[in-house]
Amino acid sequence: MKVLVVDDEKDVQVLFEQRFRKEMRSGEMEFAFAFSGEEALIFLKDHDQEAVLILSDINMPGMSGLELLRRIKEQHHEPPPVVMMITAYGDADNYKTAMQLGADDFLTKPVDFISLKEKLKAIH
Amino acid sequence: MFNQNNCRLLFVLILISMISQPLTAQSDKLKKIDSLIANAKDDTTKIRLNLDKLDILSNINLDGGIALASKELIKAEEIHYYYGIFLLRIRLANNYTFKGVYDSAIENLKFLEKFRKPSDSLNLASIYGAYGMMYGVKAVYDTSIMYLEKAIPIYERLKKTQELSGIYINVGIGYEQIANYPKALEFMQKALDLAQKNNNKSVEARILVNMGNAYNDIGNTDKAIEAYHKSADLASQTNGNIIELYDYSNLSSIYNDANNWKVGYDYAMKAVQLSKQTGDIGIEAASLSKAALALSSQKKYDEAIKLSKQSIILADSSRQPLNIFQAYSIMGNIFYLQEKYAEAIPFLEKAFKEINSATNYDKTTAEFLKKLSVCYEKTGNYIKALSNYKLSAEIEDSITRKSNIRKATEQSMNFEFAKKQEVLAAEHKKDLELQKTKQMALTIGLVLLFLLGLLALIGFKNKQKANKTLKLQKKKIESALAELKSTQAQLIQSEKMASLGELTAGIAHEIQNPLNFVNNFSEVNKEMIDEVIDEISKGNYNEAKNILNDIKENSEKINHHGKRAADIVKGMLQHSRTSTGQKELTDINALCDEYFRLSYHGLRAKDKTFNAKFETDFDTNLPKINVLPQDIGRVILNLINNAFYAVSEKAKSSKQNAEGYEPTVSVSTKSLGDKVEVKVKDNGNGIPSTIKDKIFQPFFTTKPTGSGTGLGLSLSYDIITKGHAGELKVETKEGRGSEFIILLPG
Repeated sequence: MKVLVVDDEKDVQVLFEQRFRKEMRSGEMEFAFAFSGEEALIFLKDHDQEAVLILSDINMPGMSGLELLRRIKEQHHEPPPVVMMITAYGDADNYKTAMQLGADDFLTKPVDFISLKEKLKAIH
Repeated sequence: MFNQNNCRLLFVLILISMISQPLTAQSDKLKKIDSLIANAKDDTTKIRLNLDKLDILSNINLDGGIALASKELIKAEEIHYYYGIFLLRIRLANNYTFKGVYDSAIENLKFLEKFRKPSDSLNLASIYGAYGMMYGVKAVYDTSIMYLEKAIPIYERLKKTQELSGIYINVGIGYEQIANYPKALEFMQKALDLAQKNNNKSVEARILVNMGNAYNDIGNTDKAIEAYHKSADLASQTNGNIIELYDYSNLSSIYNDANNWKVGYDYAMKAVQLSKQTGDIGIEAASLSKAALALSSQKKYDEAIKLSKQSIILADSSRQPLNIFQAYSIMGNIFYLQEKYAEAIPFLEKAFKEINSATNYDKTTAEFLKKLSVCYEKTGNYIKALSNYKLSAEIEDSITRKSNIRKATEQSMNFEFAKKQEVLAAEHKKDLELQKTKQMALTIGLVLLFLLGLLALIGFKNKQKANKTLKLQKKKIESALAELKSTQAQLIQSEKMASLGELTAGIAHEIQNPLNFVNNFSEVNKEMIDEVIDEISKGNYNEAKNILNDIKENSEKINHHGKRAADIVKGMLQHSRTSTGQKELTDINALCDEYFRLSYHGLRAKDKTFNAKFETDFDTNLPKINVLPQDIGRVILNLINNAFYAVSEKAKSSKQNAEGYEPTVSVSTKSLGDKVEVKVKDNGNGIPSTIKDKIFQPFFTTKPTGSGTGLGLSLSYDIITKGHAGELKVETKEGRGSEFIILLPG
């Protein structure tokens, strides 16, 4: 399973690589990283249908995570990739908007990796 | 109705001989003096000649005058030249006064008070004259009159008619400003007599326009008209265009007020012609308005609208609120007179908006609001009709109260004036009849004395009554002021709280992020330590070493993000603290970076769709400087918030226009040697030139009601200029964006 992680904080890459080191070593999961919404769109264009799961931050400079979500759900139809939002703002407004735009899940920071892993395994 | 303040000429230099000469003649004279200076042999002659040069130069260029006087003063002091030092310092004081640098003016005069030889009474008078003029220009009229009246007996004794004439004019203007018209007229008459004696027509014209104003103020329009006519006549003989223009403009007002519209129109158009020549667009707009008013009152609506349109264009570019009010309200009035109420409303509203922010309400405003109320009533907007009517009634109410006091005061003044006139007439008569019968004169004198006593008693009683009412009014005003001050303090506090609120959302985001790393990296480390133990027990030391390295890196990250969270909390505490703190050496780059992020995330938290590019360009060689970090941070936050607001407003409108617009906000720092510069730039809609001057005023805001307190920029301005002796400037282009520039001393 290939996962694209989108976040403007660079340390997120190290964090994911370490938390999923076993899964990565076994080849069970594969990760790609993008540090902005724009970068994520370029990646998805170049690697059409490769990433089945996208984890995206919401608050990023430039294109926001919600805008990215809207575009992904608009452009990539068959099969639609799973998009989970991860944000520091767990407020109702943010949640509602994300859900209306078609987000498949909504996680808040600090991220609980144990439950994240369970969710990923369920999709798998 | 729609009467604007009369055109007034204010304080003049005591030596007024140079004022009225045309510029070309002045530059010819300057050349002549320069050649004389070049040929002068001794230093005292040179200084004397330079004093003449100064009188002309100061008239053209104040700074040039100050520079020359300062230079010559050094020379005069070297050779201990008493006369030179004295006159140079007087000129310096005068020039500083007209520049508005009163401290320097006072410094020079204080020096001269000590420096003066006790026997030198002429120069004492010139010190008094200079003080008087300074306080007059500063609008402290009582003190001004006090000083000037001290100079009069000295000049009278020494028969210095030219200086006396200048003093008389200034005293007259001073009295006029404090509404003591009889005294004002008395002194202006004295000045006029001297000017006539010296055959100085341009000065005569100048005095007469002021006398006209004073007569008009006491309601003696016949005398006022006579004075203006005479003044205009003399001014045209001596090329005094500006004075002639003032005369016609004031004449037009008088005739319009008397509903003599035809004559009012003629004078207004004459004033329009002259103001075109002198390039004074403010008076041109006002005169066009007066002409339009006169035409519309004669039902010549088409012509009136034509003039009114011109007036609006000129008034807008003159940017004087009174002119703009007048121009728009007259256009509204033209429609009103034709019963085109709906068309009148926008003009009247625009007019009211101007006067609302600029001046006190007066009778004109009340009448004006009544009209606006009628317009709304006729177009079916009863709520607005009622609110405008109410406001109008309130204003009228307060005017009636004020005018009662004024009437009482005026009455007593008229008594005094009449009294003085009678004394003068009596003295004249006495002179004639002196030879005839001394006995007769004595009797008349006695009767007059009795009459005088009676008049004085009535005058005194009236004044007492007025004083009592005035005291009551003063108390009311004082309590209103106290209330206003406490409201202002509350508003300032609420502005602080509002900016704290804006911060909190940003802080939430900024704390959750580092926390995410701290929590997760520490959990990973726990797992990895288990792995290390596992590997060691298997004997895979190399693998154990690799994992240990990762653990080390992770704990560094934990440390880094923990510190990041601590800094944010510290910043928040500093922001909420009141600014009584100590100045400390601060890294401005770090401060900008921190508040930039807070502002961005705060805005993003409030508006999910908000989106903007942000750029930073920090000078890495920026020295740390001594500032109050939380105050400067508040300023930077405010400027950045405004910038984001500006781009988001533009983004909203360009979405409708479907243009390709990329909202961008940038912050940059730069070391300028002894100063540090911070620039906050946006590519929003920019600031219209009409409000550019107002943005630093307290309570001014363009945001919708309730969204902004209008104190952000005004607080920022105070923090930078008063708290840090720096500068806060703005450069803006309409439609292109704005750039706020902070300059802080290093």
